[in-house]
Amino acid sequence: MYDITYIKPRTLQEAIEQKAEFGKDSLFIAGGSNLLVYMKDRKINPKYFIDVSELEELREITFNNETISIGPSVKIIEIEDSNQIKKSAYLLNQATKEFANPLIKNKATIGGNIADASPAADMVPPLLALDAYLELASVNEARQIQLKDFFLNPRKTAIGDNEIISKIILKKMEENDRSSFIKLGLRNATTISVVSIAVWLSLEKGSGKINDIRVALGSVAPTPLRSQSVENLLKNKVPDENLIKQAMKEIQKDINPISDVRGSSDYRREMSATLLKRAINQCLNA
Amino acid sequence: MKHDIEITVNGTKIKDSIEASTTLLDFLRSHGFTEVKKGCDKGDCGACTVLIDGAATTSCITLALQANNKEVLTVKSLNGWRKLHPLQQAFVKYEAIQCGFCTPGMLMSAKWLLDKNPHPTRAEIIDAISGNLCRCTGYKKIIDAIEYVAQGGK
Amino acid sequence: MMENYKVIGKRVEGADEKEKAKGTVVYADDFTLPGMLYGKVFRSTIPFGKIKKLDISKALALEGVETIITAADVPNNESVSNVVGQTTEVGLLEAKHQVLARNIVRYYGEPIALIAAKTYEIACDAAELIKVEYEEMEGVFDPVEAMKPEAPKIHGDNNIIARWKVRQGNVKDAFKNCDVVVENRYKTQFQEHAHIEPESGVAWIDENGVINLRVSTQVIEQYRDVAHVLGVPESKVRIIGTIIGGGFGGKEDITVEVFLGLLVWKTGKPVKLTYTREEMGYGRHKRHPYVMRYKHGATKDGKIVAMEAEIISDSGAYVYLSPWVLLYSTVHATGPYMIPNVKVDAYSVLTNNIYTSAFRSFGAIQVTYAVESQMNELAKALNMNPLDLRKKNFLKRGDVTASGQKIDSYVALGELADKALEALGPKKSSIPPYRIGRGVACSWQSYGRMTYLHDTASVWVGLELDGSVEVRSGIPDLGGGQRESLRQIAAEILGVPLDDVIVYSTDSKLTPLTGTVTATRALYMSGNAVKMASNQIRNTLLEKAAEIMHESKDSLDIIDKTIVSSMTKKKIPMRDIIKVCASEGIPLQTLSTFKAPFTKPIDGEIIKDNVFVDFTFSVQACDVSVDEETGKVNVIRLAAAHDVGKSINLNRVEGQIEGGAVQGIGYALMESYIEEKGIPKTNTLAEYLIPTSKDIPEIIPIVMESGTGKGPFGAKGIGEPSITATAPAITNAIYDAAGVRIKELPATPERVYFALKNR
Repeated sequence: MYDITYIKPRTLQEAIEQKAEFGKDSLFIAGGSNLLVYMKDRKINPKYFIDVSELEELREITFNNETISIGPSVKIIEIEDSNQIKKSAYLLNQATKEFANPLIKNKATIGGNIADASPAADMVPPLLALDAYLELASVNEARQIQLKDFFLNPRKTAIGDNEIISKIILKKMEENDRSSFIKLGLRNATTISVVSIAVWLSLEKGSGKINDIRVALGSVAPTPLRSQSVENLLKNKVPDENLIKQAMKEIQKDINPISDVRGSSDYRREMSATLLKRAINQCLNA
Repeated sequence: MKHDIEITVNGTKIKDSIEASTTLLDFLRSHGFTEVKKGCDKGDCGACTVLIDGAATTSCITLALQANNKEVLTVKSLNGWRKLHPLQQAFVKYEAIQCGFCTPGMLMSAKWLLDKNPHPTRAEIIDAISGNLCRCTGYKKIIDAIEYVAQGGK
Repeated sequence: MMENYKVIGKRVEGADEKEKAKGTVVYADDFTLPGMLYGKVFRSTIPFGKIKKLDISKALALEGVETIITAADVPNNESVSNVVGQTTEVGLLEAKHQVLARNIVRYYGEPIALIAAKTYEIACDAAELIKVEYEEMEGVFDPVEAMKPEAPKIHGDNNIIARWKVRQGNVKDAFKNCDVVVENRYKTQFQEHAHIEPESGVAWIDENGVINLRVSTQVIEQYRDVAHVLGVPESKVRIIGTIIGGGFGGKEDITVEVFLGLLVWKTGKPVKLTYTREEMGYGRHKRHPYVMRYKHGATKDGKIVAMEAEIISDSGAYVYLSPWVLLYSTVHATGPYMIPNVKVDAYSVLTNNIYTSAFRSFGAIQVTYAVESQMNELAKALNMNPLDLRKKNFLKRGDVTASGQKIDSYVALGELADKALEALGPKKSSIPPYRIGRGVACSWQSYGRMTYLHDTASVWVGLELDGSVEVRSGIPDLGGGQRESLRQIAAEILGVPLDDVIVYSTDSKLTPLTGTVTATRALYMSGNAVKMASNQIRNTLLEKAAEIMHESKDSLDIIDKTIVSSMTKKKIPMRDIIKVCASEGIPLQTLSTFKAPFTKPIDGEIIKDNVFVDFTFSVQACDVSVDEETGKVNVIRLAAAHDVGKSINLNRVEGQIEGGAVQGIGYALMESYIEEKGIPKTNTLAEYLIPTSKDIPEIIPIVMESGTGKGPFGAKGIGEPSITATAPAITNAIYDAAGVRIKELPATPERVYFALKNR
């Protein structure tokens, strides 16, 4: 039997005060598509659900000069439908196309996808590739943390006991930037990824040199991660077939996939390399 | 703990006092809206699809309280006393229904699609129902039926 | 009779489809009674072991718990899974299983106790309070291992619970004289029915003291089983079958019925029991995984001379229908080909995996996968076109197969294959890394039950005074139009508008028992029964009309509720003749029983006789795209051609063809129920993947009507045949695309990828 109290704060301040009051006995809920499953599986039994799905302060999308700020309670469908995001952070739009299915997208939030911290979270590799950081709020102080430092283990993040993700800030894509998101799954919709990859790169006009590149993967380690080895190899280089082949080897240094019902670690290693090649080529040929 | 709740379902205000853990699906079914089906209770099959303020979603992984003061539409909102909604008619005409269990949810996803995008492509139709599992029909006739309505068929 | 049918063969809207579209159908879990309790099954969490201690005291003490039933409370704790609906004991063994586990559990999920409580939540809480002390035993999880003498024994002293053989000619010598011999080992997986509606029902005791079970079931005859378990007369248990939200064989074996019976009998109060999706995963039967070694030999002109097969099926922890599934496999093991020298040895073996039983195609799908793969491998070795090889060896009407099965209808395979390939059109070119390939597979699939089961179907048809018609039949409706066909047949024969015909169905006490909706028997059996009954009434009417009109009966027809003479063009309203019959005491209703051919039970293990009435012959052809770099396979286009004999409702026939093909795609590419050492790993629909709308190809259903079926109007059956050939059509296409032979299903991206890599 559950003994849960549902609270719906009217402001962010109220929300974080309630969190401070109820502490470990409370969980923030937005879309709820993960939390309700855990609740039914009796994996969680909080005394309080604090509903932040409709807090206006957590639902803003702001376009700045070099960054975009997205509220954690913005739904995946809203990200997909946003023409502005499509224009200035295309990689996010690409990811929404592979995300679950419309029924889930209509309620799931970007903040929820991050906070759930599944190694297979589909929005995370794109956010990593756009060098995102989070703003965390609590009654004590607000702080920032790089998204790449946020994930500690499957379903475990660096969020403090009474903190809430209040903003997700990512780098805008410029005109010459290219991006690619590839998800390999066992069927064509509503599938947990076997391997996923997000690549963002900035090309120098004319020379074809990669000025900067970020590569992030999902489902190949306890947490989604950036592949520094590949980024270091490819940065400031003009990519050719040989270099990409090298990158496909380098990526193995950064990943640590397991074998599970969806795939073996061997297969995941090979697919990480293959998807990397494809993603980079897609970017170059765009 | 019990909470007061009020949801407008198919135009009728339903008031009750419920446990916070109650899902929207269980709330609806226990209030007689058994046309909303429980196929898996985990958000994986789409049989429980309803519209909440116009957005199609799986009611089994939605807290009832998250639909508080909102408008929920089930498949029964589509047809009148004697008249079927064009989507329902098309499903019958195209034999897009076999056992019928996925049908209520499938129709609501189709409704959501056509409300948002009255003339979708076949690919967009396929995407819109990709969260609704059907084990009987193989989807083809369902897609044909929705496409018929999307192309103006009544 | 009439060649220009009015309703037979047309696209007809089903009577219940509008209601399904409106959401008004009351499925099993939609039904509620005042004062109803909620049931829950408490299940084993180990795959094999003794129950040392079962403590239900805390659970029983929980407020709101009405009762908890354990094995000790069950009057007859043994459920005998003889082929339901029949009384003959068949096969090598009676299939017994415990209703509730008493001292020993043999699979993870085996039911141990039943709970009834005021709310479902309380029942779940009670389940958590039940404590079991197990003494775990070493189990066996591989049927090949389980065959070994040193393997742990699941029941008795032998894990092999069924053996069937085919012997014809001399394969050893025959292989010596072959120009090519091809031998391979194939493996298939557990498949889950994954019907969207969970198993569910509500039980109550009525004013006659009769236990009523309103359940989603393919077999209303289960009431006999429930009566036996409770130790009450069979007349005191009634099953009302609901409109079923999908079955595919998953609701063929007993599901919630006996548990509901126990709970209502113990409490006296109405009870509802609905399984969770997880329970459907680890608690309900699956399709048998098979390991098959096949060896084919042929001469260089393409004549298949010899075939040898060793087939091992995983029966899981209990026998259920394994011997019959194996029998289907054994008879179908040669594929639809005439082979002079055949040796088949088939075994079904117990393990501590989930038990296995009925699933659409019932044992033919696994051997078809192997045979159709072999045909292409053989063609490769002979340097022949795979279809040409098949055409040289197809069965013909009149042939008797190695298992003694006479082929008694037209074999349309050649034409079906041509039509299917034609429908696919030109093959698109490959654009690396995507390789396009085309594959074909043929199948035969019996319709109607095994003939030594002495299958019968009773249907009652009656005319109202105004000429409207009632059909009463126990047949359950799976959504495949089982009841709808009866309407059409009655309407056609009695000359009344379709809308005037109503089918009252699926009540084991109020409607005649028409048998199960399994084995693709519904149209064949119930359709013939309805035809018999309708014809009898038609004859009675026309005889009386002939008398009144002074015409010969042969010149009369019934068109739109009017009796019409083709000779004189005279017309009399049907109603008038009915009135005369009524006043003369001539009944215009009748109960007809259709009997399938009866044969003797198979004596011993070697099959050398007819087992089936007839077969549906089918061909599926498809184009696939293989991503060589990831192994991902997408089916682009699939043509499924079936000779259905005669289609009664064309929409329904196409629906079965399309639905079966997509379920076949799931079987071929993505579905796999996984247990590791008996511990389930894929319990939800997030882990057990069935095709979504984005996973289907362009599907082209092709309906052929040879008119040579044994069903009404020359119909055959389509429910199961629609799935049988899909998987090998796909794996043959994968071979054409990428040069790899996938010998294990499902052909997941990883499996295909490593096959490519190791090419």
